[in-house]
Amino acid sequence: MIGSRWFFGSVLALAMPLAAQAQVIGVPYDDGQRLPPQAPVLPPPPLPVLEGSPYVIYPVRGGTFMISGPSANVLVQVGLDGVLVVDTGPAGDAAGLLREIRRLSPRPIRYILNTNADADHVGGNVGLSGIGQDIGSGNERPDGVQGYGATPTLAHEQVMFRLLEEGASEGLPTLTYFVAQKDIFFNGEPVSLIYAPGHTGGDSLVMLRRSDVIAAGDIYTPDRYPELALDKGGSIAAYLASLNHLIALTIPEFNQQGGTFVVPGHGRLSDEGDIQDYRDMVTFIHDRVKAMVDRGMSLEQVQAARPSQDYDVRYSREAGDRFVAQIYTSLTQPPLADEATLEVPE
Amino acid sequence: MTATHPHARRRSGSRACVPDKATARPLVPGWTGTAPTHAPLPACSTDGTSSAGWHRSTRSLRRLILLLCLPLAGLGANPAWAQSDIVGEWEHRQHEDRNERGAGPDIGEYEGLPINGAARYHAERWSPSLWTVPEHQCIPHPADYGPNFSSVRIWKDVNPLTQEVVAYHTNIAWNNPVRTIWMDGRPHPPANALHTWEGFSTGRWDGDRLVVTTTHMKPAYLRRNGLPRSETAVLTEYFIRTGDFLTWVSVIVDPVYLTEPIIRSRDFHLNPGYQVELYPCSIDVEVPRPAGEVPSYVDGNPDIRQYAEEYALPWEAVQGGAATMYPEFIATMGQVAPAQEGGE
Repeated sequence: MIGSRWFFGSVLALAMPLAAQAQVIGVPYDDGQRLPPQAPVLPPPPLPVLEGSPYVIYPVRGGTFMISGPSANVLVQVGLDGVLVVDTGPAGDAAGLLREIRRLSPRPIRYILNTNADADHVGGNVGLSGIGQDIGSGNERPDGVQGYGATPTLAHEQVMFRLLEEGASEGLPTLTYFVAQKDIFFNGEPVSLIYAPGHTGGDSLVMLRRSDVIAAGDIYTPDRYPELALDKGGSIAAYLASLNHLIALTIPEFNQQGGTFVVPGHGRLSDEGDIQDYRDMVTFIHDRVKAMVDRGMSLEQVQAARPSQDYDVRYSREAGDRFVAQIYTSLTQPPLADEATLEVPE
Repeated sequence: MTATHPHARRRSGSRACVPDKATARPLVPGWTGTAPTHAPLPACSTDGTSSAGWHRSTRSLRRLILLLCLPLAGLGANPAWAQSDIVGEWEHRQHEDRNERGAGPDIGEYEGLPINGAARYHAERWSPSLWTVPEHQCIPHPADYGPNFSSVRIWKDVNPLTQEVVAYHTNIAWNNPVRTIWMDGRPHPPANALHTWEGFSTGRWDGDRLVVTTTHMKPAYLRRNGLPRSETAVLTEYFIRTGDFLTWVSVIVDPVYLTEPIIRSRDFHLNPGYQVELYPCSIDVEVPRPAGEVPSYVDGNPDIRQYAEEYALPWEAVQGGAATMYPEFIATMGQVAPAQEGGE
């Protein structure tokens, strides 16, 4: 009896400090202060539209904004360092775009980044770079004196090559890259240009890491089918790889939405939930066309089968036929000598 | 329900008697209870005067009672609302449309839905394995599907300076999506604003019905067997409270995949003890597959006819379409052969 009492007493004596220790250890992790899953933090409402302006400014997060107008979307990042602009719209809209940018910041435009070489993405380079300043020279000269020619314009080298081929003499990229990624640091956050071909051979995603915002260019255009510019280095394989790369870069906050926001080349502000739907669509249509190609069907037979019919009602029959033809050609034509290849990230 | 006018309430509230339950106008439309009284009062006669004994009392006694009742009259003169309050924990009754609950519908089960050919084409190629793709695992039911079987908590934000309801919020149990229904008259955002699973909702009172309009929903599904719903769809909902019951009517208009609206109603019962449980969702890769693969049936699901065959239903019926919604279609069903007899 005495032994039993001694035994249980000893166990209790040993257990009490352990219990106290467990309680101490458990406090930071189970103190009842943890919050349940919350609705994701979504962007605030758009700014009031200026009278007569075709643009709508959508705040995205922090100092980032999507300016959406009749043409390609523009991502603007503002801060103490100045203004960074991703894509510049068509040439004729530069003045209107600048007016909208000035609603967000009076500071100099320090960087222009281009996601591809299409006229609706680079057309405003001339108009906007002319009023900007190189950040490296901003403190060295009196007010009113422009930088060393113009605002630095960053893009993949294929963008510059293509613009030169098309005879452009101004608005060309001044800083190009040919590797997988080019990084700068601006307005307190890392900014990466990530090579992501598919629409053309020179597409870039632009990722603002602290803002957690990505400009996708024409690698993601939710209001239309992808445009595979096969004569400019585009391909369906690279396009799908880049879409999946974009998904790998985005992280939803809760309920498969929020978190990383994506400014598409055209269409609505998005998150991973939208891109996944778009990726599914491109994959489905690709898989259907590929199955028909593998059976030896001609392009006419494939188009007659209408493998994009469930999405043509979203976009258009004509656009669907064009997209199917681009996929068919991309799958059947020999790859260009310098066609981009990209590994899909795990 | 008829709205209660404040002045009418004030008049009725000045009566020094207890209204009969059968004839009393409820404080909240649909609510079968009566207002609590702070002192025992005699029952009313049918003309609103007090019953035997009291009307023969002395004039001074009447005055005394009138004085005693004035504070009660003041209480009864609180602003009366034309609408019910839908706040509370509402438990789903789970008695309607079995195929939208639990395990969900069969593959190829489309009867009674006004889908078009594009929706059918998509669903025939849809694979349930799509849910195993990481980006699909934590998608909550969208606003137009959530009420189908999940219980719901509804609460409201009130402006403390004006006492006006700024917004209602809903939180359904499955995956815990939170909706906001703006009641402050704000406009819907422009087209390129972010779309969410629950969309952008605004509400207004139509009598005692809360009418909610929702746009900006992400592309999702009409049914959990691959029937798609586009991002252009507009959802109109009616929240109708009848006592401790809430009827939630959803009308889905999708110009892309529907030829007519889909109308669903679901019933909920007020259960103050109900707790919406946490529904944490973690994304896990459980099915190894080649990078970039998204499961689908490129040539159509080979088992697409299984549902019709198992229940000996005509193939034309399970294919859906607006015609299958109407009673007249039943008359044609005898003229088409069941699916297992090759009646395509």
